[in-house]
Amino acid sequence: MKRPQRTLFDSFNLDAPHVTEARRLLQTLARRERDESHPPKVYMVTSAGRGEGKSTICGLVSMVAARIFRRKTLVIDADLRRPSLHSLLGLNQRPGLAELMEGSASVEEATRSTLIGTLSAIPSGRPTKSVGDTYDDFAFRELLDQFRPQYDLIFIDCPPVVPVMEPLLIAEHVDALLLVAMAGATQVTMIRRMRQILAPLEPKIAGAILNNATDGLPYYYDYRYYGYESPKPKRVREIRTPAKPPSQDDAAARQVARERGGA
Amino acid sequence: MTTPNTPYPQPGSYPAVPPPEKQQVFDIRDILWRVTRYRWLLVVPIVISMSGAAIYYTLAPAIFESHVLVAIDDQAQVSGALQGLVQPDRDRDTPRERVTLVDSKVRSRRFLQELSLRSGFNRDPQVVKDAERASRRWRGVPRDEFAIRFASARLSKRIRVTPVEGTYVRISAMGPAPEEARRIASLIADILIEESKRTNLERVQARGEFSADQITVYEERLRKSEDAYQRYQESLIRNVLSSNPVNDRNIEDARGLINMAESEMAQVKQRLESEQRDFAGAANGASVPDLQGGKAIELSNRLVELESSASAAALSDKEKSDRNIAGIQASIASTRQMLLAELELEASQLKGNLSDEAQSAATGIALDRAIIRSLTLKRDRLRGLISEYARTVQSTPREDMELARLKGEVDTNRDLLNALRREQTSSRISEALETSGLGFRLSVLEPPQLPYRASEPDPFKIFAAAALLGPLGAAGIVLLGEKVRLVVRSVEQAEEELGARVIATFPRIEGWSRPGTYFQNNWPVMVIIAVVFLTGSFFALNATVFAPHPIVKVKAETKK
Repeated sequence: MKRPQRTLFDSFNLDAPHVTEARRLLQTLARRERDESHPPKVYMVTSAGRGEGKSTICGLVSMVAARIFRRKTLVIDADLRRPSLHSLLGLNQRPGLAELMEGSASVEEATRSTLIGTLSAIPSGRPTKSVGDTYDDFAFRELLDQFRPQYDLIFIDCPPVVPVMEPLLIAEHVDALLLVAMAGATQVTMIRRMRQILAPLEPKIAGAILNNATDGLPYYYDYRYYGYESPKPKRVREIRTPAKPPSQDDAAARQVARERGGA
Repeated sequence: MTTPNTPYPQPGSYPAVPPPEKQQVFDIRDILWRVTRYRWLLVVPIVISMSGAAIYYTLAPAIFESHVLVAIDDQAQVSGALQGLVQPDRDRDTPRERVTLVDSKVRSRRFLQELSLRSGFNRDPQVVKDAERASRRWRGVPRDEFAIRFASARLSKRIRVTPVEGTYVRISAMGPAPEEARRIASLIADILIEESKRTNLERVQARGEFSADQITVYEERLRKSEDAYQRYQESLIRNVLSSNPVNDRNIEDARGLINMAESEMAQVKQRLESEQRDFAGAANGASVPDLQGGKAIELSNRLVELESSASAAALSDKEKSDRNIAGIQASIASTRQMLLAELELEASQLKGNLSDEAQSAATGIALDRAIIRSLTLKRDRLRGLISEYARTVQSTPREDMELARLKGEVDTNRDLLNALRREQTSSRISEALETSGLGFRLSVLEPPQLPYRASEPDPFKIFAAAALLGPLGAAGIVLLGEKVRLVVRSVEQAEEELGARVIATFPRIEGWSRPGTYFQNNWPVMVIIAVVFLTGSFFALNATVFAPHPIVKVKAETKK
């Protein structure tokens, strides 16, 4: 059965537990930035295997960083094989990173605005060649160098570490790594394998994120146990037709909608 | 460059993270959380077990049970004197022993074969078919024997013996039809009573025969032992009768007599020596003549007898012997005088020129020799009697023991013979009781009735078992899954395996589906729906398509 197409914006509620958790994560990272002379700016989000929620967490953290922390944020979908960030953010898949690498699109074309004004995104695009041929490590590094002065934070949604080579290459150019594991689902053996692969980059690992805490961790990780569950999520239609006066975010959303219609 | 793996580079600037608390062994909230988490998975085994129970209850063939209530130990009253003889240990039977007794009897090969023959179960088509197959496979055993064996084995499974209060035992017979169950129960009761009667009769007859055989044997043994005892007693009596007069009271007297005889012998010897010297002086070197005429010898022998009689009289009862001793002493003196006179006569008739002094000395020598001889014999006899007495004293305990042994043997044989005679009497009385119908150990209190409903399958038992096994299976599956699946289950485990601090735990976004495919997320519900659907389909088909058609049933009954 096909999953209903929902974006992270549909479920973005400041009282929602997942948003709270993202705020907590960014707060931790912000404290570290304050304490360091060269605070990390480019974060790579990866995991051991597929389907562990790294794209969702990457998009969510980017949204929170832009919306709540008011940072100029860029999120890049570097998973050219199984991209999903564009659907989570409600964007078209192309043009994106693949087109940038192949030279068929400019940076301005590939960089998209989102419903949140301070958040930009580069979707994966659709490579015309194999991913191995499309991904250009040198070009990617140049791209990051180009983006660094423009954004406060850059999050890169990477493919899983164990089956694919690109994360290891990308990790050389980022400042910090965030490892995602899904509680109750990720095999311990896969985590060990990921740790073996990332052993040379261990100093860059900023921390780990456990996903699926509701179902995979003990009850005291569940917000509902404390009676602080979020209000019922609003439907997409309700967000797109707000009753209150339009804000800056809504104007950006309308712009995105126009872009979509044009595409 | 930063050092991202040290989230708190300045330890003083942040509060220290408390170490993770040790997990409680038993946390009810954790269990409830797991139950909530695995709620559908927990329901799956319960639904499957309940559906299976329902299908089993529908498909399981109905079994009817008819029972007969039997009283054991319901013997007719006999007199108190006979009670101990007939069944001395019957009251010691416990209810369990009674049940075991009946059960072993009912399940004996002989009983089951009789039951299968009487019930005709050995002619059951299925049994006959199996018997034919077995006889083809195992040649040498006829088909009828196999049929009886199979029928007995199957009937054995249909019988159940259970204790009831007191001395009662319930024997239940099961069958696929009520009539069959009642018929088997009734046959069991009949055969059981007949078997019991016959067995008891055989037992008491065997007891009687055994007792009779043993009585013959022990009568012979008793006779032999009594003869031996008697012979030994007689030999002892003979010994007593022919024994010496010396005993523990007069042994000192006997020794005194010996001393007296020896002292007298010494005096006589001295006198004899002086007479020999006188004879040598008077006869001028001639040898002492031998004065041994016939009368002298006769008198000399008599003197010996008198001396013996004198010693015997001295050792016998004192009151009686005093007079005898005096008489015997007088006889001894007169005999000596007579011997002297005879010797003087013989000496006077000697040829040769012996002087009167020489003749007188020869006469004295011959007399003293006769006296010494009689005293010597008397002394030797007394010594022999004393020695014999000493030997008797030494051998008396052995004789007593032998006598006691023979007596004990006689007593033992007599006791055994008496016991065997009592046993024979008991068996005769028991046989008489069994023959007269007074000695039934088993009696039917309640005859079997036609059961009006099936005893099996029991819906309560089946569904209770399902209700118990379902949750147990569910709990087992969940626990097994938790133990077997090696996945990340806690923050501490994740930190240990990843080698990095967990800085966030993201819950599932509310309203979003769980991670994984639709089947992975919803298979328990799908299984439940499928099981319920299949169970419902089964019942629907069972009630419509596979149900016996009424017309067919009526036709079948008419044909029957």
